[in-house]
Amino acid sequence: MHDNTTDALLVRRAAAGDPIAFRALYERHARGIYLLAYPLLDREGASDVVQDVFMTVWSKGHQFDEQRGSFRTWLTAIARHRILDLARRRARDARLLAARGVAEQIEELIDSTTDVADDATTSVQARHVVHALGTLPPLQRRALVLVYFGGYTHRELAELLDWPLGTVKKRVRLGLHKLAVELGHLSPESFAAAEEATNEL
Amino acid sequence: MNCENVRELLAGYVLEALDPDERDAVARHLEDCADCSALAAALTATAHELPRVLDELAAPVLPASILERLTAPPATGRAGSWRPLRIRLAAAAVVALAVLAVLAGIRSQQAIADQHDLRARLAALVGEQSIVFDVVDSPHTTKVLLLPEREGSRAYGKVYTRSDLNDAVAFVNRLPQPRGANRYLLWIRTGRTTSRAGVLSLHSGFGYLVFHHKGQAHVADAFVTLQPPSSTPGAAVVLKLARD
Repeated sequence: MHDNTTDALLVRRAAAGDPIAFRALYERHARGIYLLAYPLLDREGASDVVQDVFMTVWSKGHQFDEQRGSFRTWLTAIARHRILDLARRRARDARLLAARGVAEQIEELIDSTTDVADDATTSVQARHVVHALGTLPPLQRRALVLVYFGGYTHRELAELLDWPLGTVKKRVRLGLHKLAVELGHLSPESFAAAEEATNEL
Repeated sequence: MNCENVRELLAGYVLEALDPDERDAVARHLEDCADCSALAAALTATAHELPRVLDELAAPVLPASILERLTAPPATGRAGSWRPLRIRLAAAAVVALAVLAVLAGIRSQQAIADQHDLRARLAALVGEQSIVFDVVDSPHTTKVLLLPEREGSRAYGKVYTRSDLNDAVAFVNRLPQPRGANRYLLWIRTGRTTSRAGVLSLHSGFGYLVFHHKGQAHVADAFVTLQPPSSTPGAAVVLKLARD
């Protein structure tokens, strides 16, 4: 299977019963899902999530609609939902420890951006995301990272960090919207318009 | 809830961070608002870029190739501190292989169906595929591993039963194609009774079988024989239950 074959084409083939396309998708994306699950679920849990998610790809791949976003986004959304479902059943302290661990490591990564940029083993996409995160104000970044990787709700995070609920919502919102602009998913004009509208509330 | 209210909550919505009532209100609004839906799609794509940073963070503590480990054959009897992990990974491998096996089976069977009764065949296959997923992908599932009787063989298999269903699924892998009238037969013992579960369909070394099994019945033994179809097990056992 050629490396340039798009995910959308592969998932169409896999959904039509092509095992080679299925395997190609697995090779491309299994590691990313494993890494996402690993901090919160350990090795066995992460392996289970990889298995579950690819079962979903095989059985429900026909539901993927490339007009609504990339395959990677679709897959990661499925994986994160499953991971959080399992993680929320675990001890609160363990989840907090894992999420803070990821947050601290990201801060270290941002602080050493020069080293990362020089490191040939880091993917271009990873560097791009680290750089974009580095442009966010630290409290917005912390709120966003803890919500994403720890699976906290606004309310849980407010309690955890002793921030007012409205502050949590605003920091998460600004953090994600600014990140969307930095990564090119949202135009600066759209962001400004959205902020103007919400400031009028 | 109007667009302005929704946009204030949209980041929390795509991150699954809202209270249930907020989430439901946003979801209802998105059903009818193309502009907010487009913004939600952009924010969703952004949020799911975040895991890319983990590639750098976690690489030192993770196996070099997850795929290799997941598709590795099961442990062959040597007890060790990492045996449970290997068995777990073997389960993942069997499921991954099962996917390929089912796919291969469906394609092959479709060719036959073309010559006979296409609609009836496909309906049966779709039903069978659904059972496979119901059985292997459930918290009520119990799995047992089958290992080769013959030393040097790399064949293995897995039997999945569900305590709340009367359907069960078995997979085998790396078995040679049977010759002549011989077939691979799966046998299950519950209590003192050993009965034939069925004949394993084999495609390029992979085989699977959906069979009837009383959900509550404990699988005391399971093994695969190579023999002509019969109601009693022959002596040529190729896979037997792994016992810790």
